[in-house]
Amino acid sequence: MATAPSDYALQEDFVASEQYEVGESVSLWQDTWRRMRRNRLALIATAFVLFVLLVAIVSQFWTPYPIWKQGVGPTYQTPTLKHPLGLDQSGRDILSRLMGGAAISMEVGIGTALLSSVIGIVLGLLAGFYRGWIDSIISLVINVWYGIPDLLVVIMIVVITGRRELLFIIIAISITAWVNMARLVRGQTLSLREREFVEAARSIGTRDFSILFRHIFPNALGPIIVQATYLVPSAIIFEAFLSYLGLGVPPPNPSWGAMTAEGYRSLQYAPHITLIPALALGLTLVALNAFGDGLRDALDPRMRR
Amino acid sequence: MIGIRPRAAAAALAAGMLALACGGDNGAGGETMAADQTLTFPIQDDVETLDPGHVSSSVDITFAQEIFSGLYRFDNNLRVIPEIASGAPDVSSDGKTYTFKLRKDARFSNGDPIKAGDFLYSWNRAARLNDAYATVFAPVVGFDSTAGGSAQTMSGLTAPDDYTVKAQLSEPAGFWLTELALWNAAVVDEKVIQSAGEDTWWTKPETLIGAGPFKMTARTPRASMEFAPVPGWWGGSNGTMTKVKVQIGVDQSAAIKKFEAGGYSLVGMANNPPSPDEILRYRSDPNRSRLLTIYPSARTTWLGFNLVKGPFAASRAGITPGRPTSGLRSDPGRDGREAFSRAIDRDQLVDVACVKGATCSKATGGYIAKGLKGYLGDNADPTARFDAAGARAEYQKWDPDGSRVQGLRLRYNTSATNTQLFSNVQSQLKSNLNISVELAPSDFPTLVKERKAKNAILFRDSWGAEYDHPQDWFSNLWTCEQAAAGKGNSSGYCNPAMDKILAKADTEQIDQAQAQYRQAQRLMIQDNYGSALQYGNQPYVTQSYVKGAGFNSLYDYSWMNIRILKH
Repeated sequence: MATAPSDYALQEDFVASEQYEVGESVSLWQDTWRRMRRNRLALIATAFVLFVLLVAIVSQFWTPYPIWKQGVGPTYQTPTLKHPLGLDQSGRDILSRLMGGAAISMEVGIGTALLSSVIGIVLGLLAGFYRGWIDSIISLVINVWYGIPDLLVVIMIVVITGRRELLFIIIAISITAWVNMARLVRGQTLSLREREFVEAARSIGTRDFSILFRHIFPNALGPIIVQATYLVPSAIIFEAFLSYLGLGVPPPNPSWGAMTAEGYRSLQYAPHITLIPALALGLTLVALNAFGDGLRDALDPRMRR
Repeated sequence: MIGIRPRAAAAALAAGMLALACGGDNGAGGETMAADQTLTFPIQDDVETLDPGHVSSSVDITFAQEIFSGLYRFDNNLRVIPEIASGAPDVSSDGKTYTFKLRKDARFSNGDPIKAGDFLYSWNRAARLNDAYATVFAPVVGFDSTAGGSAQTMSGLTAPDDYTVKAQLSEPAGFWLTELALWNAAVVDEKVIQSAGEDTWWTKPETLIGAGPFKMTARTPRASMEFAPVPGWWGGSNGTMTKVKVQIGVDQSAAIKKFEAGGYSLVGMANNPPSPDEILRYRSDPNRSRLLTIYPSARTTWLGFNLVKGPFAASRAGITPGRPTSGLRSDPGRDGREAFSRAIDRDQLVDVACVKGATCSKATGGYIAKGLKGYLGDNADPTARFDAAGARAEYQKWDPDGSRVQGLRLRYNTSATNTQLFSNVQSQLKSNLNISVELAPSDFPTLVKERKAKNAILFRDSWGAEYDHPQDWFSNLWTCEQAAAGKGNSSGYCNPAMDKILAKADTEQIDQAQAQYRQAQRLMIQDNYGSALQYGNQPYVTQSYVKGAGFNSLYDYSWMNIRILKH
């Protein structure tokens, strides 16, 4: 006798694992949270990301020492009770600067994710929904944009304009970061526009704008959110790299990338100046990626397999 | 007119000669010399020129001083001592005529004898070339027309006989003897230059002929140079070195790596110091720190204030550059300048900006750098004493609503060191006076242009001495003449009373003039001309078996002093 197809077996596993009560009504987010709770790594990552966010918010009101203040103690001082993470080459408190750096990283990460998502969503929706020449043009732009090294584009923008304000850095990174989102949304839209609920909306005369933003967009939200969470760490590492090159937010703003670069030259003598921001950056990136993975799995359990 | 005092000049030189006779590090007793007396060291950039008439960079000076000799030279303590001159000059009572007697045994490294005519040729040539250091001969009658190209020779220079040089000065100049110890006044061989070519004679070892203790034996441009002591040098012993090898194109990091592998005798000569990071590493390691020596170098950096316009000006209405900024009925900018100066903790400054004080030291003794004549002494500048509370009170009185310093920009030329230095100044002003000053870095020519035009309000100013005489600082930086637009007194500071003191001091020998130069500098401090921040340092790392190498605030010690011990 032939065995059941493997897909069938997987589906059975899936249904068994969810253990829903008959008649229980759950929203998308409640469902997502239930799944997230079962993923321990994602939970730890979420907690860490929330902690970094909290630190970033607190740093806007309070840090142990002003982040710009030099000479709060001897330069290159290793961690002490007074300065738990030590002092840098200018005698600035590393803990305070790390807190300030968290704010910059989060602002860049979230700001870039939001801005590039807006660009990508709008273009992706238009391309996927209207197809034809609009799709051709947008797809061409996306493909061309893919071929250009994004780091080079950002460096050129920053160097040519000479602008290094945080908002400008966010805009510069967003200009290169929207293509993945646009591609994803276009694909989702192409698929959703053929579904029955869209046909139904169209048949009763619903306008395109309404179909796009009230019917297609909400149904593509899961993958969009997952993609957006991945944009956050990539923007953070981008900004850190720019700052490492001296092209990021200007001093004395404590970008983690700049902090890593500033301490690099005294690595042998005072490794804590480089290692602490590098560790913070690394952990935050790992946490954001793990959070994104967890969210992806929770929003679309099939992806886990 | 104030007459120069020949006796004082003679006494100073005699003291120098005595020191030379008694001093000397050569062959100190009890030392066991290594069989190989080869000195090796790296430099990053090749020499630009070794023609004394053109030499001006620190790298070139190091080599020019070993290859060439003049009437006088500096010893390790920056004293002027006779070299080809047989002693101190005979100076007329009006201080305007100098008569130099030459040694009769002096020769170029090719064996050509050195006579008075060679000095006339060399000095006239240097004046004609009119390069950066031609002004050494500015006091001589006829310099302007020679430098300007309308005359071939300076009419004030004569040679009564083969071994006598006579110089007629247009004004008494007590500093001139010091200037004559510079490389620009060295003697060059006319025969060689004529045959090898004006522009190329210095490029080849066989035609690079001087009268100094060493001669070049090999040169591969941008790769290496080799030198050897001149056999039977007319000046006597030229030390124990048998060879000096210079590797070119070595960056700071590679230099230290090779030094640690024993490939170099030292790193730091010819103004090629180890990088700040390496200095830090050496300081933190007890074994390595013994190899590191920090010498004061003759540079002062200060925070300049514009005295002719802006919030720090000596008059609210502004002052035409070149007009007096001192001795006015009131000076509305003075308290602000003083508050800024007292708000800066120089201990913190050198810790942060100078690799824990390795690459500079705090400036607390006036504008003339430590180690030079004219230095006022540690803590002699009251405006350099850190007093945050006092400074803040003074500032609040001067600018209660902060409007005077709104939008204030601190201008400096971009470099890692300057960025570190002025970001600390910015931090301290914010911390101690609650003032937000914007940093405005630019390239050096832009900064100089803005400063000379008296457009910069708050700015980096700095001077590296060319010779050990206060006149070098005052004449170039702080007189009313220099305060005019387009000239080097960036602040526009003009104190006629100080100019009067300087006019007298410049005519006298340094021993008599020192007190007057100090008095002049005190007037500047009293006027809060600028806020002295730091004096330069010159770090060296030297193998433990290499002795006698070092730096005398202005120049590297002569190779004649260096010995390689058995190791």
